[in-house]
Amino acid sequence: MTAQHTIRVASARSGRRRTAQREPSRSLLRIGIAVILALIFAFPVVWTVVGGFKPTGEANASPPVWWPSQFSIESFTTLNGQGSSLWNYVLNSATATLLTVVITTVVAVLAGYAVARFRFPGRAAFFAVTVGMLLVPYPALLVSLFQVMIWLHLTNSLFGLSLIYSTFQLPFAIYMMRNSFDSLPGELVEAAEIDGCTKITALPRVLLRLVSPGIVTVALFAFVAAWNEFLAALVLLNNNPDFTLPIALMNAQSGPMNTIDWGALQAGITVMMLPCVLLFILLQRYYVSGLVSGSVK
Amino acid sequence: MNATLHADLIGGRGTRAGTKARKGAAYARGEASAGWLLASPASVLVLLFFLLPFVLTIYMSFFNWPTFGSPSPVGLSNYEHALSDPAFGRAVLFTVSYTAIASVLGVAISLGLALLVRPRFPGRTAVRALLFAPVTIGFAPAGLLWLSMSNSQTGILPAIAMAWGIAPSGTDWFARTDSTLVLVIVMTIWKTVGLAMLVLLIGMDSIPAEIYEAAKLDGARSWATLTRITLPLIAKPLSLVVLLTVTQTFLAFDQFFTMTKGGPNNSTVTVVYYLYNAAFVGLNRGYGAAIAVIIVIIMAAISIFQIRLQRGRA
Repeated sequence: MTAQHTIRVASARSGRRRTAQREPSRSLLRIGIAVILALIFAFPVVWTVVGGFKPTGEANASPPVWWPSQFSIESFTTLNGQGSSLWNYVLNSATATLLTVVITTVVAVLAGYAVARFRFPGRAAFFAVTVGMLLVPYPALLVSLFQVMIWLHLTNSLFGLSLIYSTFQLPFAIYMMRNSFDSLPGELVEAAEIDGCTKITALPRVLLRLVSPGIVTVALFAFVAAWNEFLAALVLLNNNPDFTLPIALMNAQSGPMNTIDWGALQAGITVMMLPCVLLFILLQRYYVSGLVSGSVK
Repeated sequence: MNATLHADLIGGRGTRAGTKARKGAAYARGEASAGWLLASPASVLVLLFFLLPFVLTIYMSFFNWPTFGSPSPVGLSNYEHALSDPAFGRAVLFTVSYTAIASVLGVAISLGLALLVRPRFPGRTAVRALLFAPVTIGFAPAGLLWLSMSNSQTGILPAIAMAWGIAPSGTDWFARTDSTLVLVIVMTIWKTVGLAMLVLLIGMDSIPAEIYEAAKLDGARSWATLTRITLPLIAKPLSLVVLLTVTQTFLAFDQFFTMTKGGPNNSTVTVVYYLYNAAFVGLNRGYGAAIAVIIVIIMAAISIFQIRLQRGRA
């Protein structure tokens, strides 16, 4: 029966190859549609980046100019001079984002290791609560988080904001790290634990390197979430110099007398998009592994 | 972005895998305290920024909680206010219809894209990457991006529409509810279908090739292969995609705040937008808290319904 099966599969394989060769027009159609769709998806990004580098006059021209007569950083300098500087906002966003990445990663590695390798009372409850957080949408908690931040003296603080971002990254991050530690071969971990004297010292000495793909995935997702977050920053930051980039952009967009410098806006959006798109290009496989880790199981 | 977790909630795996890995191991003394030590930073964060605000939200919803000044208990009147406010009713109705339209379109398009870019072809990786790339852009910059593309004076989309004779020059697309909604939905689909497509592709990749080969031998047509094999075998990632799409669409805020500001005439105020106005523009945070509790209940109902549905099928 096995042999028969093998033959069936083999003949089916060659059969498929033959049909694929027989239908080049169909696969050409597929490639054509796919490429056109990909270009349509890329168009808004390209349009905006090009728009950011148009001279101010051309960026605000009506009807719009498809391609600039010359590339210019005028829009970026305009944005840098409005109220508080663009670089100040970039720095704010970068601070909140990097704090979030560091806090999320450290906290999730420790907690993931605990859940995967330690038996302690309340472990199941701890894991259930962290994952269960997903059932509660965080916009609903902002009303009272505002109050909590007042109590903790963390209003208008990028550090306070990053603590909140980190907390809401924990369900994914702890789950991811738990899976990473779980998927290490048991003998290896036990050997490391014996060599490393204790389970705690085995973590920095041996295990950390082994779960590094999981760590990169956790850091990547934390980065993208914190860099792009809008609502909590809108609610919890009230001083203009403290604003993160998306909030500052929203403000820059509604300029004096309802006039909008579209070039400056597009320059700002370009600065917002760039880090995430670059990280995506560099770290694609970690994106995928983040999604694979649960969606197939 | 939290696709994987919902999978775990749907699958109901809980901590079983963790226990399995350590079966039969001997436990050192002090393991319990070491475990708690490692889990304590996470516990502190969850306690301070999740459990405390969660309980506080419920508590605040029974108070008149002014932005300045001291709160006073008002019983259920915040809830009565919410349920009798026609503006909240309109926001719920709008959000439900927006969610229905955007989710059906979003899931259908991501399934179509996944099927389109599934087989090998030259340039497949680049095509997949371009389709996914908008996912990495935040909703707020994405909203501003489409706003700048669609404004009646300098936007490229009205210029194209004019050139094709769809709309006359100078038409303000944000002056009407229908064209505003179309723009927001197109933007949302552009920004979100890549993620759903990738989750579905991952699900499709886990289907053994032999099944398709056997089906081909039996002379199954492509439509039958799709409906009898592919769709049933990706039921789980598909229901995950549906759950993610529905919940995220229902909680939409950024794209409306950046693109429509709730207009024209407050016709595009979503539930979360209403919450934002109630809690942070209005003066009674207690009322905002009551709206928040109602949102939590609605979301929990949606999620639990989905999870039940999935478990029942499995």
